[in-house]
This record gives sequence, structure tokens and C-alpha cells, in this order.
Amino acid sequence: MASTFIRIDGPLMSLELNKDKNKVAVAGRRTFKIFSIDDGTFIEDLDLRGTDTVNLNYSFTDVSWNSKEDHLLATSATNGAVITWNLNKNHHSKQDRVFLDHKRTVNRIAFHSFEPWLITCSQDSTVRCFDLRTRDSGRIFKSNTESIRDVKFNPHSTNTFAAVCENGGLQLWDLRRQDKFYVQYAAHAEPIFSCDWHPDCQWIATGSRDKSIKVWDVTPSKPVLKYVINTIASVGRVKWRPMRKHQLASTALVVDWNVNIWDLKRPFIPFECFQGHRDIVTDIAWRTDPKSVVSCGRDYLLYYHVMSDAIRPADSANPQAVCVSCTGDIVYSHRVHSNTAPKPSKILVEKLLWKPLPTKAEFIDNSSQLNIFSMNKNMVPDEATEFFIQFAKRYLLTGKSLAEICEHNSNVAKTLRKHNISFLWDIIKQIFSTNFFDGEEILPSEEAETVAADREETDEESEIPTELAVALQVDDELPDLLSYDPKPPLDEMITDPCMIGDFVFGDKEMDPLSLDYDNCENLCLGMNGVFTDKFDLDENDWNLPTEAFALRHEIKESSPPPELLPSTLGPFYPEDTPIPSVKFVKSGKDHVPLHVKWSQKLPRWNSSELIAATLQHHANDGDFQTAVCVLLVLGEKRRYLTKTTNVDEVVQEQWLLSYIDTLNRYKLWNIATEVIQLSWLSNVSQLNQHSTTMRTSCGKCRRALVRSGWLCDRCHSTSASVCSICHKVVKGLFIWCQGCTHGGHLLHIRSWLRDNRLCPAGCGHTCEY
Amino acid sequence: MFEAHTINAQHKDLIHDVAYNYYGNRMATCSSDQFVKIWDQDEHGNWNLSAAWKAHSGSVWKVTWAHPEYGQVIATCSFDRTASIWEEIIDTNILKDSGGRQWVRRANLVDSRTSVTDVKFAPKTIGLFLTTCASDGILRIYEAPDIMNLSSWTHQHEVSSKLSCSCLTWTSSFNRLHVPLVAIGSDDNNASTGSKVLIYEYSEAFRKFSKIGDTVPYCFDAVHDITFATTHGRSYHLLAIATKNVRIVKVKPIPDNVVNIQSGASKFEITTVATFEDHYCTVWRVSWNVLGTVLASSGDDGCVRLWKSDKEYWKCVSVLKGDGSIPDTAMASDAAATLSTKARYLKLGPISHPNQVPYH
Repeated sequence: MASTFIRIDGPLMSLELNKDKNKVAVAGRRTFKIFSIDDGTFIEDLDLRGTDTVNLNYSFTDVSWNSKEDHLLATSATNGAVITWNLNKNHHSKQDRVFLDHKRTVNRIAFHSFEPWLITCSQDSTVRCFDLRTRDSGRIFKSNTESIRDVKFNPHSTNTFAAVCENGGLQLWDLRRQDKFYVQYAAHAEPIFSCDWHPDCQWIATGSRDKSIKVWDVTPSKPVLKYVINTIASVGRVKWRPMRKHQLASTALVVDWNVNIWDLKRPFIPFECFQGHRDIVTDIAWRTDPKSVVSCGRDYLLYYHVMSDAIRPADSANPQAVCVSCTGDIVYSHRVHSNTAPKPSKILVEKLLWKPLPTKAEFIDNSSQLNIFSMNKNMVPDEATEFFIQFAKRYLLTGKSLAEICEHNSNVAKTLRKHNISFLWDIIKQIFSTNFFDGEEILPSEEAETVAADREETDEESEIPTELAVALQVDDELPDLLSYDPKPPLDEMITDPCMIGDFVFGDKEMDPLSLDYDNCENLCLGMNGVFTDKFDLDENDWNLPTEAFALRHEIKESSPPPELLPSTLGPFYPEDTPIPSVKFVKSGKDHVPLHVKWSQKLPRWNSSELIAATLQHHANDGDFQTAVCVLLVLGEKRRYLTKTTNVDEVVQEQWLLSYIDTLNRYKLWNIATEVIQLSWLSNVSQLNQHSTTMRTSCGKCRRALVRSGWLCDRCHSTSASVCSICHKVVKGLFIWCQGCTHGGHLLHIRSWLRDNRLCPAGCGHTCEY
Repeated sequence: MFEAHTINAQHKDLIHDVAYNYYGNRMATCSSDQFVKIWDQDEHGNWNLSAAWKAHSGSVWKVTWAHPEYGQVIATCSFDRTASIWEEIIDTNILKDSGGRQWVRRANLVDSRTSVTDVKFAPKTIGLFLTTCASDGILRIYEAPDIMNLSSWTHQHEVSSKLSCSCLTWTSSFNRLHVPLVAIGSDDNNASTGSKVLIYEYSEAFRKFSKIGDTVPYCFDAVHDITFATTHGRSYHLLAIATKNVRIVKVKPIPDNVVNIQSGASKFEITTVATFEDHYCTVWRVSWNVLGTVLASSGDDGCVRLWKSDKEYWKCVSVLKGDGSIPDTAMASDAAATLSTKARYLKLGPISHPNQVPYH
């Protein structure tokens, strides 16, 4: 059975179920009807009000159904009228009696559960108790407050009732003592709109505008606060749930259009919510079972809710939290179960991928444990952030020659055991610290390139053609030409060929897959992607056999060049330009045809693509630090990258800003400032010039001087910036005594103070500057 | 490698969120007990409670720190349908242990008609913006036009996703050509409502969101958490999704051509990079480290698992148990071994001599 609703011709204020809970009376400013509830649907039985009347007696605020005699109802109205209705009357008007004793709006009325008494509370601050057997105006109880918002007979004691007041007071009265309440208690700080006696114990729940529901135990002489429920809005109605000792339902006066069911054991979040109303819900009633609720609202709707349609807000709340700090600490909080039931095994959990609805016990089980996992400082740093800080602190970015910086940084990386980065620095040094990159027409470099390209293409075994290797070869040859001293790593590489198989090839023989993915033009797969891209782009420059494969791993410092290197050095090195073309043709038969026009001047080997791709690779791998530092160290030489590769200024700016931001995060302000100052992009280098202006204010009117330091825009006066000695306006540096505020031109004041101690303006102050 | 400390947070109900500040030396926790607590780390590394206050009249779902440039500012969102901005001020009139510091509510954003499920500040590069998402699926953006006045927030824009939202995240990139993106996740359980991860691009010129054409593939289960890694030097964004499993998705902006600039819509290439089933149950939260290289995920199995990329190849690097105990390395490697059979990644090649491969 699902929830149902019916639309009625007016906003509803109140509803009440009969004794058997199969009929409901609803009342509103323009409505008074009785519906029978049959199998979850509403069927209209009676319209007691009629439509034609404009009688204010029929502007209903509340309705009550006598729980002993099923034909008796009572209504209250905004004008203070209390009407009883007798359904057994034969006349079409079922109106029985009218009590006009209250002079102002009657807020709530209630029948006694078995005595023929009707109790009412009103804005006129009184409670009246009418005896239906007599014609008199009933007993009157004066509360000494502004108004009474709700009144309820105590179901556990014949002669007592509770009244809640607009001033936040809870009053308990004895019907036999008309003069004074026997208990009054300041229950809330704001008006209380509703109260309800617990069906089983001497508890009373109060709902207030202060967004809370409080449960009081009234057995002792002074009410004891048992529970507080914090709701999200002012509480309009509270109703205990039958057969559930610790649960009650509430509605709100503003904001919240749901019917919320709360569990006292977990007072922060509703156990269940009924949605559906589109305006404020004004009244609720439980049927006999605890699984269905009838509610009405200002949206003209009368709703029948069944429990299976309720939502449970706690279910969608996440019970866990995890956060990683910038230092690598991890904080984790999770729900802990107080009952130590054995945890289900993994297999079992896998079977139960759908989660059964949590029981009430699970709902109440609501404590979290907060753990922090932090790095053990005593152990070797093994964490990206720690490396980041170490690199940032130790790297040299400027101040020495490029070669020295590269060497230093390479050593830094080596000591931190980041051999791939160390090797990158070595390569950068090899490529850029020689001047073959400068100037287009330098002969030696051309020669070197020629040879390099040439070797690249003529290499029969084609195992070398990783650009890294090429770069090394180039450098290897250059020493003679450029009197360059090869680095020890190079020596090692040449003399230690035993590891080739493992390192260089072992890792990339599986490459069909990665080649496929290279087509996605992403560079993230490492060098592989870089190279395949490059071949496509650079066909005019030079070509490589397609099965040439590249290093996927960055090379460790100790990794050797391909073993063929020495042998290829020998035969080809002395050859001059015409010969390579022959060689080229020879080798071409094994490989993809190459269409390099050798008659033309050979283009220079352009390593910028490679460097750019390498940096991009590092950046994509999360290591933007290396990329930025390489760019910084390169200085002016980076313009080769800017011009020809996809590491354009936008990307460079992104890297720089990321690096600066991360340095700031680790509070490495000095390094961040150094980076800003070394930066070549105006957007970045202006970063530390933001917000560095200080403005002075006019000495007369205190308005900030915007245009110039000596003329105030508002009072058009320069009097505050007149030199006390020459009486002219000071347009440059103005120096003044902070004691008497007089001052003037720096030179004038200085010369004045050489001979005098008192203020030049004659104010008598002993000036101190 | 990790040491565990348990903090007795003394929240009276579940803790729903914890957040470190920019520098990692302060921490905010929020709970269903409607309280927010701020914890400060002293020079010995111990965490001390520095403030606690009742922030809302409903469960506080999320808490997040603003960039410290704007002061000590946090934002919270709650079941009570509001989001609040709090600032710590120094009041010399209050001489307490806290050194006269006090958190005051600067603004209360009351536009939502349903529970506000997440709140996030936009990256600093586009200004002081706050976004909220609610369980009725409405994403709202607020701007503080004057960063010195945190009590005035203008409601800039709202967009309805028609799915109950549970989480949201911004990309953070310093690349001028990267359009800021907001991804929202939905905890809607109905598979027929389509992908539960929606990505919106934020146009600064028009100050509005527009949904990007491409959707995150195969994401039809309820999403509980979603986080973009800080982009830093990358040419693409990495998005972690917590649903039935942990997923990492790559969102790569395709460089604009002239036509696209005119139509105002950017193109993206969205690919799933990794999927991990190791939690065997609902995954609740994911969180990236600052460099965007390590992902932490937590699930109903009570474990935090750390994932790290080794060239497009994501693997589990440690498992931290929620009860504070740390599984011994044998277990961790066992977990890694299980992973290798479970995770769907592309294996590029064996490493024949692991000791010669540099540490990644």
C-alpha cells in the first residue's frame, strides 16, 4: 500500500482521528469535513461547514473528536467561538452548541479521554474547561502569560492537564485548583507551540519556536529535562508515536514541509521523513499502528503516509571522512560499532552488495573514531611531499653557469635517489651548456648534427635511436670540437654495456599495446609517445625507422648506451656529408623509405621537441617541479621551447604558478619569491608587486590621497604638505615629526635640525626624527 | 611508514567530514551533532581542540577551508538547508585559552529548499566563489564581490541537474586555457537516470554553468564522493569517484579552435584510467594529496587505501586500517597482489630487475 493524498478546497489547520481511527475530521479557515479512510484512500463522508456562510464562528483553528462518544466533535474558531457538533442529529446542520466565552482566538481544544469535559486555550491567556452536561461557561484558569498555545489533558491522571505558553513556560494544572498552576517551568526560551503527553509514561514533549523539542519527566515535583531534539525549524506540532517508547513525530512551522520522526536516542537527525506536502504541514495524527500517519497542510492536501515510503536521511549521510594534508598526513574518521559482532568475511560482503535497511539499533549506533595517520619522521622520507620540499630547498636555480647548476641539481637528485631526474639534468647540461644551440650557423654544431642524424638513420640495428642516446652521441663527439670534457656518467655508459639488454630493451619489447595508445596522442606513456608523435611531426627534418623504440623508463645514471655506440662511432665519424646519403640509401632498405633530401643543407637536429616532451611528461606525471626548475635554469635558452613546441607560454605559466602555489603551501616563501623573480612571464613576475602601494591621507580631512601626495581632492588644500621652512608645497619627499606633525623638505629640515632642536614651525615641540 | 594516532573528538554523533587547511596545520571536523570543531597542530605535532561551536540546527555534512589569502575562513553545509561561512576573528575582549580567537558566522545562505549536501570554494584563480549543491539537484554559485566583506554574498547562478546531488568538486588549474570545471555526483540509486557524474564548465564571462557534452562513462551507481586532483603541471584533469568502487577518470580538454571559442563550448576527452574493486563494498570518500599523485579512498571495509600512479599504472601502495592498526607489509603486498588480478589496467611490461628501476 502506498501513500495517498486528496486535495481539499482550502488550507487545512487541524485534523483529528476518531476512536477507531478509520475516520478523519479536517478543519481549516474555510473547511470542516469528515473523511473515512478506507484502505489508504479518503472518501468524503460529510461537509459540516457548508459553503455559503461567512460566519466567523466557522473560521476554524482546531478540531477535536471525542474519544469516548464517536458522534461528538468540537471545533474552535479564530473569533473565540467553541462549537460542539453532534453527528447523530437528523438536521442537516450538525451544529450542537456554541460557547462564546473566549474573547480572542482559541488556539487548541481537547476532549477529556473519558470525562465529558472539553478544554480550550486561547490568546486571551486563559484556559477554560467546559462541562458538556451543563450550560455554564465552564471553569476558567488564568495563566498570567500572554497566551496559551496548547493544552492537553494528562492521560495518566484524571484531573490534571498541561498548558504551554507563548513565553516559553510549561504549566501543569489541577482541575480542582482554579487559582494557580501547581507547576510552572520555563521550558524554552521562545514560544512553545505544541505539547503532547507520552501515552505510556509521565513524559511530556514540547515543541518550540527555538527549533527544539524537549521531553520532560513530570513525575518529580519539578519537571526534569530528559531529552532534547534539535530540529531545523520552529516546531509546530509534536505527536508521540504509538508503541515506540522513544519516537515521536513533528512538523515545522517554517521552511520544512516534511513530517519528521525522531528517535530520542539519536536526537540530531530524523529517523524517518515523510515527504509530499508542498507547504507547511499543520497537523498530524497516528493511526492505531505505528506505521501510518495522516497529515494535513496549508497546501490543501490531506495525506496518508505509510512507513514504506519514508526516507531515512541518515542512510544517505556518509559515515566516513578522509582527508590528505599537504604534509602527507591522512586523517580518517569512520563509524565504530559499539556491538562487537564478528565482521562479515570478504566473500560474504561481496555477496551482499545491496545493503539491507539499517535497523533501529544500527541507526542509534552513531559514534565515530578519528584517526590520524602521520609520516614517521624517524624513517627515511618516502613520500612525494617530502621529496618536493627537499628538492625545492636544495635545487640551485641561478647564480652559476648553466653547466654548474645542472651538475649541482643532478647531484641533488642523485643524493635523493631520484636517478631519472638526475639523468635529465645531465642531459640538459649536455645539450644546453655547449653553445651549439646558440646561433644558427655555427659550423661545428652543424657538423655534429649532421653526424648525429646520419648515424641515426644509418644504424642498421636501429637499436640506438632513442633521442637520448642520440643526444649523448652528439655530445660525445663534441668534446673535440668544443673542448668539452665528457662526464663520468658517459664514460660509464660507454664502458659498461652489460646492462643494455635489461634496461633499455627489457622494458619495451611489449610495446604493441603502448603504440596503440600512442595514437591517442597523449604523451603520458612516456618517451614512447613522445617519439611517435615526433616522427609524424618532423618528417621534413629527418626520419627514423618506425620500429625504433624509445626508452619508456627514464634512464638511470648508470644505464649504458647501446653497445653499438662505440662501433658506430668509428666508421661513421670521419665521413663527411655526401657519404651519409649513400649510407642512408643502404640502410633504407631495411626500414621505412626515407625521403630526406640530402642535397639540401641538413637541418639542425632540434632537441627542443624532445626536451619539451620530456618536461611535459614529467609534468603529467605530477612532477611539475622538475619541469619548472629546468625551465628556470635554462634561462634565455628556453625560448627554443617556446617557439617550436607545445610547451608554450600558457603551459609555462601554468607550471610556474603551480610551483609557486605549492611552495607557498609548504611555507617556502623565499624560494617562491626567487621563482617569481626569475620568472620570464610578466603575469608571474608581477605577482609580488601586487598590493604593494601605500596611500597617505590628507592631513586636514583624512581622506585618502589618490591622485598625488600633496593635493587633497576633497578640500583642495595643500596646506598639510607645506614645508615649515620655505612655506612651499612639498611635492617630493616630505619628512615630518611624528610628535607635532610639522615637517617639510628633507634637506630643509635636515639643515634646520643641525642648529636647532625645536620645531621649525614654532610650535615649541622638541622634534624627533 | 605511517604512525596512527587516535583523537578523541568527542562529537556526540557521526563525524561526516574532516578537512585540512591549506597548510595542513589546522583541521576542521563536522558532525551530525551540529557542531563544528577546529583542531590546531602544535609544534610537537599534537592536535589540540581550538574551537567548537554549534554551527547549524541540523547535521553538518561538509566543511571546507577557504584559501588563507581570504583569512581563516571555513564554509559548512547542513541538513538544515543552509550553508554558512565562518571566519575566525581575534577579539581582545575575550581572554580565553584560545588567545581571544573566536569563530563568527559571516553569512548564512538560505536559498536551498532541501538539505545542502556539499559546499566548496572555487579555486582562487577565479576569485572568491562558493558553490553548494543540494539533494534536490540544484547547484548554486555565490560570489563575494568584496573579499574584505565576507558577509555579503551574491547568488550568481543556479543550475538544476534533476538528480539528487551528494558531492561536488572544482578543478584547480593555473592554465589560462583550462576552463574551470565543476563535477557533481549524485547518490541517486536508479540506474535508469543515466550517468551519476555530471560535469559543468564555468564560463567566467557569462558567470554561468553549462553542462559539457561528454559524460563520464559507465557511472550509473550512486556516487558518494568525487574529487578533482589539483591539476598542477598536467595537461588534463584527474577525477576520482567513490561509488561501488574507486574510479579514476581523466578529463582532457581538447584545445579550442576558433569555432569552439565562438560557440563557447569546450570539448573534452573523458577516459577511465583505473577502476579498483578492492574495498569490496561501498566506497564513501576519496581524497587526493596536494601534488595529485596519491589518492586515498575509504570504504565500508573500514580501511583507507592509498593508490599511486606509476606511469598510467595505478596501484595500491598501502592499506591503513580504521581501528588504527596498520597491516604489516606482507598484508599490504598481498593486497597489492590481489589488486593486480582485479584492477583493469593495461599492463605495459614486466620489470625484470626491480632493483634497478628507480623508485617512482
